[in-house]
Amino acid sequence: MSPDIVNAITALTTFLRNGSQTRDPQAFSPGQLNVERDFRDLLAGLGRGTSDSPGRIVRPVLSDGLLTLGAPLPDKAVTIGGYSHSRKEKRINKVWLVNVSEATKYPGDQQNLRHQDIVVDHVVRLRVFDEHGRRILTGVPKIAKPPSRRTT
Amino acid sequence: MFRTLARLLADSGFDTNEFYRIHPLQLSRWLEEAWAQGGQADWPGFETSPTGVTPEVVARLQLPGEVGGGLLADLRSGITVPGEFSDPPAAGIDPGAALPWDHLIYAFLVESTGVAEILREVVRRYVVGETLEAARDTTYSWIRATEELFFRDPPLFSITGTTSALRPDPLVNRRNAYWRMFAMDLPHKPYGIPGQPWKTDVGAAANLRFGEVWIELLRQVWLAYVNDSNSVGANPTDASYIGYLCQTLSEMMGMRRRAGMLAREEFGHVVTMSWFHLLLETENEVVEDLQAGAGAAGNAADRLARIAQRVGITPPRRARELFELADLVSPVMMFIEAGRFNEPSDAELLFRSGSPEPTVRDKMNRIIDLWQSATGESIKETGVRVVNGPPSSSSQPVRLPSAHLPAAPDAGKSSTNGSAPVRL
Repeated sequence: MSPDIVNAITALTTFLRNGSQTRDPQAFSPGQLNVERDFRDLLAGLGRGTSDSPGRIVRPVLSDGLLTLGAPLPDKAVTIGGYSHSRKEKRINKVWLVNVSEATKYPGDQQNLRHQDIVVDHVVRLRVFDEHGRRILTGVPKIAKPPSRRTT
Repeated sequence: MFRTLARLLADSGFDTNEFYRIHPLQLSRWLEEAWAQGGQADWPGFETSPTGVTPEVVARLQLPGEVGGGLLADLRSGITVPGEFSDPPAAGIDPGAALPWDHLIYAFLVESTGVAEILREVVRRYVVGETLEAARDTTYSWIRATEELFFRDPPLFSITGTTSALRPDPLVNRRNAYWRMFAMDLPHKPYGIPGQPWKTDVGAAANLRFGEVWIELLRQVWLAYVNDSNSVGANPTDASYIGYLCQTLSEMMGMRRRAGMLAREEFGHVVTMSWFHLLLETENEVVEDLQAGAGAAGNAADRLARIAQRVGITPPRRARELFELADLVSPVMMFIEAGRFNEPSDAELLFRSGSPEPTVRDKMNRIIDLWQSATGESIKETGVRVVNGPPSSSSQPVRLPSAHLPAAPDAGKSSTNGSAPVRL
């Protein structure tokens, strides 16, 4: 069978299935793709596959005004946010969200993110997003202990 | 977890033989650190879903002090290079990320191969006599670590310390956990243990419907799978019903997990089986010394069968399927327990090909094949249909399947294991 005939049959099959819809109704929704991605992440964590997620934020240490990372964020990182977890509501709530470019504007200091909006305030998760708003990194911050007050 | 640690070390260039030279005390300490990291409690996708391993449960059961501080720092494992003690951060200990461990179903399926009894006999023969040939250093290191970690009481206050004067036999303890969570027995009878003491005093708190609902889920997923591309005629797929089955399983497991029940047990049992599984999944010096090599392309079941021959035990014929099933079912069960497939739209992931790489669907298809082969339970058979007969009834039953509820276990009655078809 020639390629032209195959292409024509494929196009006809698609039209019969989808009608005039531009989106393939068989395709997963963004919510379903999130579950699928989380499943692949878990498989990767268990050592049984690879994940299309770049992985985790390396050794994040959070304090008010400063977030120190074990490695610089990737170039495609556009925003980074801190989130709290409400067990009662079973929800993740945004506490702050800052532009990576603003927080790393000091040359040669890509692992120290400084911004007045960065606060500890019950933050238990960090998430990094790309320009399309996709979550590309996640992390659990270690909260830096405030310096102990010297007693005299 | 030991397979995870071996993988982390392999990423640093160390092979399994070197892994077995790690001192058992270091391995024991590493388990404490892995637990304190939080496991799936800190894993993406489990943040808002109730499962047995929650941050509160982890914090309650771990040694006092955060990771890298307190007692955990004083008693650190120092595993960076096998055979040495290194200051933290050690491999996999402080990467800023938790390491998930497998679901209890993993331990159940691996132990169903008889691996615990077979390797127990290997270790026993090595430590009491010379009926097996002298081996190399690596093998004696493995024997020592295996005996210290799994055939004696763990260190006091250890996270894996689930044996005590009240429940002294780890073999019975594991069966107890399997019975409570899945209402399933291992397919082989335990040596030297009369009756079924693991069912004593469990009460009505075993998930007796688990097996039936799980099989029904597999059947419904297969029904939906074969009709996925069906665009003409009736389609018996019911994603809502599949989500309902997942929700039922999730609720059943959640009942057994309240307030962290079975969390330590699950961790300990998974750790034990991962140690045995690790030995069998690759060619290494221990396997070579036991003359059980199966080649680089060989599988764990082949190596287990050859080791079993050396000590006069016959493993189940379905060990091949059980080892592969263990790796596949565990993550699916974790997602089911976390309620990730409860919604009909999310349940579609189990059977639909809506992405170029439908991972969940592919795993489920393989699980169905292997489960059917391992247990003899017909999953793909949809029943006899009469040509030109009356239209078939609904593809979904009126009610969820329910198991026959047995009376309280009779301690005087011997185990049914071995006298009936294997039914996982």
